[in-house]
Parts: sequence; structure tokens; C-alpha cells
Amino acid sequence: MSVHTEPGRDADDRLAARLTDYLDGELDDAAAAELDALLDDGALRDALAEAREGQDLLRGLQRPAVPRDFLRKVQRRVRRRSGGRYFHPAAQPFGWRMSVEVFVVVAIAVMAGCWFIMDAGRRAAAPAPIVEEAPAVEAPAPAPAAQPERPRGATFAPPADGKGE
Amino acid sequence: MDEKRLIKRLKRGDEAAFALLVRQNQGRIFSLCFRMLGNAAEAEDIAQDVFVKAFLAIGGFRGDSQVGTWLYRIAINLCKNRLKYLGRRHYKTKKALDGVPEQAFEPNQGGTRTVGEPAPRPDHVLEGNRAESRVQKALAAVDESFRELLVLRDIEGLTYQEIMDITGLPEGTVKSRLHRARAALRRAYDAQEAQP
Repeated sequence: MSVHTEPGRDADDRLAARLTDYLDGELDDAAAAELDALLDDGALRDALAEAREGQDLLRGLQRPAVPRDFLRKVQRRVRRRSGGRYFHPAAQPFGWRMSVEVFVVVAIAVMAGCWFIMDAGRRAAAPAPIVEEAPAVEAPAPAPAAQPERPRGATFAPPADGKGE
Repeated sequence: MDEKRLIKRLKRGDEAAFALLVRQNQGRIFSLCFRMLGNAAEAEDIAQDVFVKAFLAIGGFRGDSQVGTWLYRIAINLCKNRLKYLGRRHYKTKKALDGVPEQAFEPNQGGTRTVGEPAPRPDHVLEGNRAESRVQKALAAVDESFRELLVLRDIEGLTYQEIMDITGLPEGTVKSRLHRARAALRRAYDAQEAQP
């Protein structure tokens, strides 16, 4: 009986699927006994043995070690493929924990805090205003009368009291 | 982290969430790519692309399947595309394993040494590497549609439901094809042995 020479044949496919179930131990007792009876057929027995040996070959395979810096290379590739939209170092200048937006908010908060502290310190250090008795308010002196502009070429006329300057 | 929360954060473009996604899945995705392509450099390139593509398409992820299954689906599709491209460029299995350094494999489960335990004999290590190489070459020699099922089921250990989600094949087809794939692998391995 053939189970692998004519792919596409329904009966062969069903039998091949059952042989896989048999190897996986997924057949119930009745189905396993039924298949055991069929295994008297030498060709079928050989086919099952061949499949089992093929399965065994893969059991001993070791898992290949992941290349070094795999994650970093993938991140770099994401950055490149997304045109810098993701994982750009400039977007996270302080590592992955803090983005630019978070940094700006924190910086503003810190600056505001500093300003309040400095302002409070300045107010505490400033001398208290000295309250003095208000001086008597004198009446403002009248503004001197504007002297008439002397015409060009006019001779100096001494004051009426006859004294010079 | 809860997967729903992780996806939410990924949709916001959270870099830390992305780093977590990569760290959690890089081993499985790289392994799948390596087994599908048979070359470490090609596998690394495609595995990186898987995460990039997943991140840029996360907005469209509806959560019908697990993120891990979704990543496998992307990986399988990218590997198939790369195989087609390499096939057009006459890339043959001779290039398989060319880029695999000596220490390219993690130790087997339970294979890590404890204090006082003797180091494995170099000839045993060498023999192990040779056997590994033969299996990988046999894997590269089987049909691509067989290889993907062998990798998903027998190497990565996925359930049939997950394989159906990834490949879009009905359960019966997955199982019948898997049976043929295992037998084909065995024959390809024998053919490797027969080569001088």
C-alpha cells in the first residue's frame, strides 16, 4: 500500500494523516488497533518506520544561537524603515525612559520651581521699607518768567538797578 | 507582561514593549528562519525583517491569534519569498551552512556543564556538528512545503491548530503532508550519507 507515491489521492491522504496521528500517539485505542492490523502490510510498516526515523532526526537538533546585538540591529532597522518616526535617538535623548515631551514638561516644572524659590528668597532678603514722617509740603516755587528773546543785534540793556551780572 | 497590554503598548510605538517582544521571540524566529533557509546570514536578515514588519503592521493586528503565532506566519511568508528570490538567483543547498560559525548552536537542554563536570570531548563535539550539518542539508533538500511543516511541528513543536493558523492548510492536509515530509527527510538524509 502506498502512502506517499501518489499525492492528491484521498484514500492515501487519509491513511497518511492517520499514520501521523499514530506516531503522535493521538489515536484512541480502537483506531490504533485498527491501524496495527493494517501494519501487517510490509510496505505500510516500512512507510511508518521511515516517517518515524525522519521525525527522530529532527529531535536531536540544537537551537541556533541568536546573533549578537540582534535587538539593536532590529531597532536600527525599524528607525530606518519608518523614516525616523520610531526609536529615533533624538526623540529620546535621555534613554528610552524619557522622551522630549516629558523632558520639556519636567524642565518647565523645574524652572518654575526655581523661580518661585528664588523669588521667595529675594523677597525675604529685601530690607523692610522705612516709614518716615512725611516732610511738610512746600508750595512749589513759581516758574521763572520766560525772558523775551533778544532780537539779533540788539544792544545789551543793563538791568534797571544798574548792576551787571 | 500580559499579551493584550503588550500589544496596546506596541500600537503606541513603545520602544520598551518592542524590545520585550523581540527578546521573547528572537530565539524561535531566528531558529525557524535558519532551518528554513539553511544559512545564518540569510536567517538573521529575514528574522530582523520579521520584527520590523510586525512592528510596522501591529496596528492591523486584531488579536485573533497569539502574537507568537502571528510572528511565525510572517516569518514563514518572508522565508518563502526569500527562497523564491534565492532560487531565481540559482542559490543552491551548497550555500547552506556556509555562514554557520562553530559556536552557532546553543547547548542542548540539559547539556550545560556544571562545576567539575568534564568538558565534552572534541571528537564528540565534532561528530555532533557533523550530524547536525547532515540533517540540515537533508532538510534543505526536501521540498519547501514539506520543510515548513517539519520545522513548525518537529523542530518548533507547534500544535496542529497553530500550524493550521500559520499555513492556512486544513488539518488533514497538514498531517498527510507531514507524514510524507518525514519520510522524504529520511530519504534525503540517507542520500547525504551515501555521498563521499
